[in-house]
Amino acid sequence: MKKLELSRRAVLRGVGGFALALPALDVMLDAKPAYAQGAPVKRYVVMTSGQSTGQDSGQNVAPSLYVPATVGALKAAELRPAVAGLADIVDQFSIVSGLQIPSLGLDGYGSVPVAGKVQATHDSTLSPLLAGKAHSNGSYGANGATSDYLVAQQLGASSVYKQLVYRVQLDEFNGHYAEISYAAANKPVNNSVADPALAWQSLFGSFVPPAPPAGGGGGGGGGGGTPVGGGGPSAADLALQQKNLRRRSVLDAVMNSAKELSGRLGAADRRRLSDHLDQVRALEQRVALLSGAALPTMPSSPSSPTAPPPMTSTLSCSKPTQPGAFTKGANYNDEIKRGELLVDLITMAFACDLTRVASLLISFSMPMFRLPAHAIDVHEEGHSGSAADFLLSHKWHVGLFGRLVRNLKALPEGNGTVLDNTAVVFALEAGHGRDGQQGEGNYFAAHSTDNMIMLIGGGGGGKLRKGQHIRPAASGTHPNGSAKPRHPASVLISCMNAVGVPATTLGDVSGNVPELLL
Amino acid sequence: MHALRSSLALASLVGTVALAAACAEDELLAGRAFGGAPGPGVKWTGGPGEPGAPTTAAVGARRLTKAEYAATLRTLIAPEVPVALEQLAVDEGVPFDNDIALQHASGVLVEGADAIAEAVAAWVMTQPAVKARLYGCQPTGAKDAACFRTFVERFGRRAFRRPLTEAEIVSLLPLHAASVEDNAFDSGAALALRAMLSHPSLLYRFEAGASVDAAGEVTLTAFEIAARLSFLLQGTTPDDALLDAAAKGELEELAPRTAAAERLLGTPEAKAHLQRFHAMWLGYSRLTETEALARSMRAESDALVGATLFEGSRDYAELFRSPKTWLDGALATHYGLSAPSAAGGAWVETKAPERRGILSHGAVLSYGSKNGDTSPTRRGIFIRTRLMCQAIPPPPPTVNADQGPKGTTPNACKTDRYKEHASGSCAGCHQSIDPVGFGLERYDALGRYRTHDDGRPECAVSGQGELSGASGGGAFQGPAALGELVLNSGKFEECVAEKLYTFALGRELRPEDFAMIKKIGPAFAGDGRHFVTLVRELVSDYTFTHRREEK
Repeated sequence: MKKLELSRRAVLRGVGGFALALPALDVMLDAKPAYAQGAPVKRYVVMTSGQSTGQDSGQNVAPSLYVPATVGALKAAELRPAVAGLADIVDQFSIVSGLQIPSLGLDGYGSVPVAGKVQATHDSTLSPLLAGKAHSNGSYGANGATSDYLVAQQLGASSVYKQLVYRVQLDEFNGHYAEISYAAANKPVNNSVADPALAWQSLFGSFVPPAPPAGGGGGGGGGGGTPVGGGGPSAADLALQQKNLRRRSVLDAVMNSAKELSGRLGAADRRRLSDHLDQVRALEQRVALLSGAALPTMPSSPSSPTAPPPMTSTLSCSKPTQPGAFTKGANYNDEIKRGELLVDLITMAFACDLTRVASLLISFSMPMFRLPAHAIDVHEEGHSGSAADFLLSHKWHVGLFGRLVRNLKALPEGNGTVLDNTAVVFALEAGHGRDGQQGEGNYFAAHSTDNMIMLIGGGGGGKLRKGQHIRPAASGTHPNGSAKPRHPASVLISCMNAVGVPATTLGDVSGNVPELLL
Repeated sequence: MHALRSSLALASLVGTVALAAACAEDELLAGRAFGGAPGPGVKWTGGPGEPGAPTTAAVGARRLTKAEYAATLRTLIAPEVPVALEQLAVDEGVPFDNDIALQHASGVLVEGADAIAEAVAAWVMTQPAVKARLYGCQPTGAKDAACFRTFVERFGRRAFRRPLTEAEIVSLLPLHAASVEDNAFDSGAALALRAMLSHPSLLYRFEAGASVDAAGEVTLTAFEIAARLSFLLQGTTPDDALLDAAAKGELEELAPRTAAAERLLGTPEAKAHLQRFHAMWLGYSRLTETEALARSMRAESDALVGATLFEGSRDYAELFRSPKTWLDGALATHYGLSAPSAAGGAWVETKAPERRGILSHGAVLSYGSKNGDTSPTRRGIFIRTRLMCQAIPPPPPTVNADQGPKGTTPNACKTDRYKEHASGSCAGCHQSIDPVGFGLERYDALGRYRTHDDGRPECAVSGQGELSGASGGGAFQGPAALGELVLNSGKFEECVAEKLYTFALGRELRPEDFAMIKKIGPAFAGDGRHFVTLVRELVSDYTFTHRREEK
């Protein structure tokens, strides 16, 4: 590991230091502006809304709640109802429409199509949508790596967090559970965090923001916290560093005292313990990084970060206020408030460069929670809800996308904003049209994956076309000879490309959507 | 959808082919493909190693569920300790939340447990009485290393559910440095407490064992047996009395172990825990009704489970037969009954058979409702898979399992719409499923009594159903009659045993596990169906004190 000059802060910590058996802190990294190091930092976000949030709830809302009548430049006045609330940022996102996940029972498919879905059930869409793979039977999860994970391998290589994995819907559906981010077939990247207090604790509970570079800093941001000023470390920072040292000493004691047990366990349990301790070690290292200290040299471990990250803070990095506990209910768990808080935490994690990739599952394949004052749960609204409530549910989902886009737009970076260097994907699990179970000619099914849309926010580092309604040209044909619309995974490939990941495939889907790329 | 999915694992377990045509009565619905024909058996009385003896189960180290972790902190610290449980990830599993196959190492778990442990340790330091009890010694000053060690040893035994090794103690002692630095004993003690409360030896139930034989069978230590008892019966870590019994080497022996189990079953923790077990099993651990109604419904079913297990005749059949139910005002109004005078609820004698037994409870009847209405199919699957442990294969991929049958004529009544299921390839399975659900059709998706389809007076609901089956099936109307058929099916007692054993092992049963069901199921049936008999049989078995390494 490269030796760097010890910073003032590291020296201060040594004075009257905490005399515990901690690994030696031999290196301290100073803050470096990201853009001063070359190419702009790029960021990637995926958000999803669950199955049965199809676009018309069985009601023929022509052409749909989302798709404008014409392609080309989006006009605020012509935005359809679900996205009408995005009028103020109409030039900051694009709608890609006419996408399709092919379905058994339609277009001549006698078996599950490649990267397709079985008929109209809830569990079979997340996998093709986010991983470009047909799902594995009985699993609600992805049957391969999702785009955010693949992007994080590249963009997140040197971050404190390779990626953040959050979700808004708190409860599982009768014990069935899916995540939004997968490293491999049915292997979640992590348990998603639904509690904003834990998300805050994780990101900022140990975080001592580095001093901003001369002339940098200032400005607002999504969190509304205290901006980090110049000058030396504050008393609060020093106290937090002390607290972090103690936290690390606890984690260290946990690791040391668990070593002996390992020798007394059988192979399977030894693996369990070692996987757990890898996560303890990873946390200890994150705390060290967040505290402003560089990583001590550690024995190599599969989960260990390989290099200390550049702790960049060119943006208005500020510590947001710690969220309080949320209200746990039978079928509503503060989803509205938590959604907003999680979006704001993603924003501030970007601003402080703690991560460059995030995913946010807004609702599961089975969105069985009930928004306040709605008569039934979100899932039921997709089947039999009132049109008014159903639209409100969509607007709530889309509102979180809008909130993130606006937040990132408010963060200056270089000559533009963070949004310019970010691709924010909002993917709905369902579309508008037929579903395989009801067959050809039956329209307006809640689980249809015809005519799917995606919202793409941000400029992706100048690579994405913004402010457009894009309807990509079909590519190839279905078995019955009809034209085959583009797969949503192709849109993800385009966004991966925009942020610098040179993928040509995602799962079993090939090719990007050239119409989306500049 | 969900009921079908949950039966999927079951179907693969018995090696059935997932096709509707395979639903023939004598194929799938006859019960398990292994372990011999189900039905009332003769109590097995042999010893370990004899033919028919239960097989020592292969199990690994389970992580505590969220509920177990919270209960453990309450046992270790104080009943009133605040625990920010939402910081931990949701426990996956159908129906039980403790399935080891679905537990993954997770950064969120580590971070959540650390945050909870920090908060709990901070809380303890503000509670002088609690703190003094946990320390077990009066520190003479910040530098009192002996008291620090006493605390680590004493509390460590409770937290890790076994005495700590010298190496473990030694690696926790450096945290005392914070006491010295702050000139405050509490500073280091809080760190040690935090380390122990987030330690893998607490978070996981490792069973390293006292010895391992050549065949890989692990003989558990007395402390590991104590943990098996307390987590099975109370859902929490062993209390001090149980740890003391373990320390005296009592729990390896049959009589003291059974006595310990009886003691635990008498605690309020056991009652709440077994109510929760039933809620998961019978599908009402999470209800989607409005907050208040969900609470009232849960209270009704919890009360009946508690009374059945611990009061009166303790005949488990009371779960289906009890003429009384626990109602509060809101639930009585919901059911259209007169409200009890007690504000918080009261036992009410229900004269009408419509409100008899748990199958008439709103909590149970809510299961599987969809599109604002009941699904006779899901209810039928529920009865067969959850109460009779039969395997129903998932529908073939070409079948719409998401929407109910639409019917051939517009606005057809529900009964007529479901006739679609009675013909063609659907009939093979659905004729065994739907008629069971139709016998409960006089209860809507929220468990309210009705005589016609919701909002459709012209669509009369007969409530007539049929539970087909080689043994003891027949026509019925309503929950009480269905309960009798289930009780007489010859499958029920072993199904209860199967659910309890699945929960005890924390994983799906494997073919070799069914010898245990053959032992404890008939014993339960033959002893007045006392639930505690099941427990006693389970914990008194040789296999309760042994395990095998996972393959």
